[in-house]
Amino acid sequence: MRIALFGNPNTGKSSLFNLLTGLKQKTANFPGVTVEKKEAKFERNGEIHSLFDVPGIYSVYPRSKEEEVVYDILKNPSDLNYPELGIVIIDAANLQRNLYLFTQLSDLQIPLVLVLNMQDIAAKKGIEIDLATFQKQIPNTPIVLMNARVGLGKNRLLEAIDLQIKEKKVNPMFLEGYQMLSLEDIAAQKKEAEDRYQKIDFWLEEVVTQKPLPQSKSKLDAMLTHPFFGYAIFSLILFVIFQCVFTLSAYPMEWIEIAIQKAANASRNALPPGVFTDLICSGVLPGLGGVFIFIPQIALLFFFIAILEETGYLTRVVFIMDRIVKPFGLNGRSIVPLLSSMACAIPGIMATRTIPSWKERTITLFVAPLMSCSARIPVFTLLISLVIPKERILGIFQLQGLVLFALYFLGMFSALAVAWVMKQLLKEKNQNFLLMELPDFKAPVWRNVGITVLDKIKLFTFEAGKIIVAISIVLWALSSHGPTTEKKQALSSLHKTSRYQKASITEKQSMVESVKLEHSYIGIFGKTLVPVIKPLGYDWKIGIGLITSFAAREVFVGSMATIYAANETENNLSLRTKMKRDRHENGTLVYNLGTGISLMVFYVYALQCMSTLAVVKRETKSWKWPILQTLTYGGMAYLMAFLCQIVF
Amino acid sequence: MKLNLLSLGQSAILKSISNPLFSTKLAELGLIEGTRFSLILKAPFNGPIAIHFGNTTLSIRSEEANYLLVDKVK
Repeated sequence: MRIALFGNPNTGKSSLFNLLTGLKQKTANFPGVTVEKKEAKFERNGEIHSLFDVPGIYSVYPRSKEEEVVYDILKNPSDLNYPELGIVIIDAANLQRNLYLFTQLSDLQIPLVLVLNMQDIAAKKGIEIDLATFQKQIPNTPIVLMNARVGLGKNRLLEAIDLQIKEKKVNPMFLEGYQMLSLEDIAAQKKEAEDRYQKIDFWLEEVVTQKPLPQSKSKLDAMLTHPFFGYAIFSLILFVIFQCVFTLSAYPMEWIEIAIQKAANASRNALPPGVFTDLICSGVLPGLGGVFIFIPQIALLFFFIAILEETGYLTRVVFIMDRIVKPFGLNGRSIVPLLSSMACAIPGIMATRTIPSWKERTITLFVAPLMSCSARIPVFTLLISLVIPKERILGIFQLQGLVLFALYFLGMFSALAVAWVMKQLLKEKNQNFLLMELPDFKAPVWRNVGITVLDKIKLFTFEAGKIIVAISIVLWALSSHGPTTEKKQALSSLHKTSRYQKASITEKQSMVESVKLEHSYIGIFGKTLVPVIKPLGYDWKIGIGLITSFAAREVFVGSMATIYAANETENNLSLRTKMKRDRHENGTLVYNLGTGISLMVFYVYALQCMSTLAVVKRETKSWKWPILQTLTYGGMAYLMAFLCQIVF
Repeated sequence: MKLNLLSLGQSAILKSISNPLFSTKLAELGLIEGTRFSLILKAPFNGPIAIHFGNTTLSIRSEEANYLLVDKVK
């Protein structure tokens, strides 16, 4: 049987879904739309049922494109997702509003189970519910008392589901002869709301008694939305989060790097030499490494974001930030996607689904790749250590750190600038509002936090991972093959040099690798790029790095290591020394201040990330946006890099 | 008077909403003409406001709050 879980936002719906399904849940999309569908199979009395989570809604009539999917399903009983049984979770502290959706679903004559959640909180608020009287109005719907946060009442719920699977009973209609209205008929929808609330109020009159509590003006809310303290607290939280993300993730990232290195070495020793071994050790494994290396930062950042979300704090962030980002065509809800993009643009772009306005969502996902993601950090660190002296400014600020900060800031500032331009160009498609509930503050449910983190890791690994691995393999093929005659000549002339003859075995190996790369297809491509990138101060080696970056930006560092025939050592010391000494044919240093800064700025803008393009394509269902992004950011990268080359 | 003219902490009764779609969406949340509510938060710099009715706290952008005509309750 197909069972759907319905409920208003903030009623504990995801807690309940996680409680019922745990790690068995799978995330897909509803057919034809980019609306997340979480689903899990479960077994009762020898039968397999599927349970899926419906986006949180207040009414069957949608407020946004995302909610339209629910309307479409319910409107059409032959839809593949039309529920045969519904579980409706309602917040006991807010029966009146929660029952609105319930009575609509009940009037659609879907067999239902009603979960009355968070009665403890309701009791604290002085709300008493007379269950027997409550049940009278809906005799054919089992009511289950639950506390989904702590997991109380799960068995009672399963028993009620068993009962309804067998009996499929429905209630008498609240609004007689009710049928779903057309989306356009707003006046009739309003009439329905008035009629329904009248019925609900009449029903609840005998059910609910609310002791008048002194109006509790939340001091916490006043603080968190204060013109000074509100922003100060938010900045402080961000600072602490990013500090934690960067320092804590350094350890697992190092372990992953070592593990991949070991795996590559071990398989090179174990497998017979040949193309296949090369493919595994130089294509697949580094590709996988390039995926896994990002997981610690993504996991940590989403761990913190999930906590903020669970407590209800994020809605306050939306509340205070909406006005600040609105002049740039963004929404308060753009903040989380943009923050997520500082770990990786993939989950960030997918998080834009919560923005109801088409225009604001498009702008947000368009500018998200300008937020500095973790793949840029290795590139920035390498280049900063090359061209920025280790100095202190005013005795306290480290110059190198300041430059890194400036690069992040440049990305953010540019994101706002691009957003502002887009705001002038795009036209809103639908009328929409920022109608957001501010839920009470709650302690986070750790099960929910854990599942969110796992979900994001899975999302990144499969969405971005498959593309990163695929491109790594293609790049490996292009960099290990090339026209043979030239390569042979180059190799034989290398063999004759005294530098080569004096070198140790490992040094010889890296020299050979370097020559091979120079004469591979990628090397040739890098050289043909020279006329284009020369004005920026780049040589063919950097050209190669720019191309290989398309797998993930940090691949730049690995490519440089191969080209410069540098041994893998701690902190890339030998790579840095070799790059620092490198000179153009006319004798000037390749990595002078101008080139270094120009290259860093290039990396701030250029959209060298195939995974991002693929996700943007999928989310917008058109190639228009990824192509526009590539052109815009490619152009900006070139222009800004060129300017930097001139200025510095 | 317009909802935006209400000051923090004041209560009011909803009289009418000039935007039909907005009016319908608010009605679905339980904010119907005649409902009593109070203005409990204002975001800085003329940002969104938050009103409380029943057991719901709802935030509304201030330009949308302009659609709401209310009667102040003493």
